[in-house]
Amino acid sequence: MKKCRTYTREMISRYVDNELPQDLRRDLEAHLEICRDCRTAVTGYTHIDAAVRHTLDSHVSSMDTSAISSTVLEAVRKKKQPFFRRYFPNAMPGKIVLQLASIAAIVTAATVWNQDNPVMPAGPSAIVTSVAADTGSVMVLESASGNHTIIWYTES
Amino acid sequence: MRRLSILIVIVTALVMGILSGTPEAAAERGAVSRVRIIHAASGPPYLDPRLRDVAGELQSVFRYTSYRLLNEQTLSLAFNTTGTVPIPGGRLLELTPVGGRQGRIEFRIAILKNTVRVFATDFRLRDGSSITIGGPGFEKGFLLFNIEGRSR
Repeated sequence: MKKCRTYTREMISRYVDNELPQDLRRDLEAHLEICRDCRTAVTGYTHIDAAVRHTLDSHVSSMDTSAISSTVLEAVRKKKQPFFRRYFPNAMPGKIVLQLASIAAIVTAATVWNQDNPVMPAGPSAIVTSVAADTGSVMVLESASGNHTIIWYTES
Repeated sequence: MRRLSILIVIVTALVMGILSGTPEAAAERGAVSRVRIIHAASGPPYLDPRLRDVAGELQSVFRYTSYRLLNEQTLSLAFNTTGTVPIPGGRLLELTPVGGRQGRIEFRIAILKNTVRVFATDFRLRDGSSITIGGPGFEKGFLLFNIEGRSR
């Protein structure tokens, strides 16, 4: 029997898989009415398709899909998790690295700034906590304008 | 690896920030002190130009008309170390920065006359400010010791 060359085997396979455009599909169906060779090809592809589906179905039904699903999800989760979340799943929120870096920078800068630029306390220029003189008297004064502290003592 | 480096940088920064605020770190610091020996007297008006910054304060309290700078000495001392400044009349001023907190530097001052301690005081000086101690008579006037302190 002469082999039909009107449609390729690929097109017939696509027809069986319902992948042909509507107009091409109609043409091929019209052709099948008159071409025994192509009908045989269609039947063959249909049987193959059915066999493959049956085999796949039997394999899939015997699989533990929940185990596969959890394995895949776990892998995806690990892949997507940031560094800290992977090792500290409960304690570390997202973008924690940037936040901690900011806090560390602020704390360090503030500490250095406070030590080099202490906030100027109000009051006298000096707070006298103790005085001791061998004889005579001691006075502690404070200027009115600039709160300048003055200690005046007399020697014997 | 890059994230591990960032983590190390953060931890280091935190440790540095904490350590730089500890008393141990502060104990290694000290103060730069400027001691000016001033002769104050009544007589022809005179104001040493090097005393302009403190003249207003002194003139608001004292009635002397002459303020002359006799000596000026700057001491950079770690806390709890003592520096000395010679004073006319066989006197010596001992100055010890003891510590610093809340924007003030704690000083301990002693004045010795012929090796005998005649006056001593402790005070907390505002950082960058000064105090004046006076009283000893000297050449028809009196001696004033202006002590300025700044944390280093």
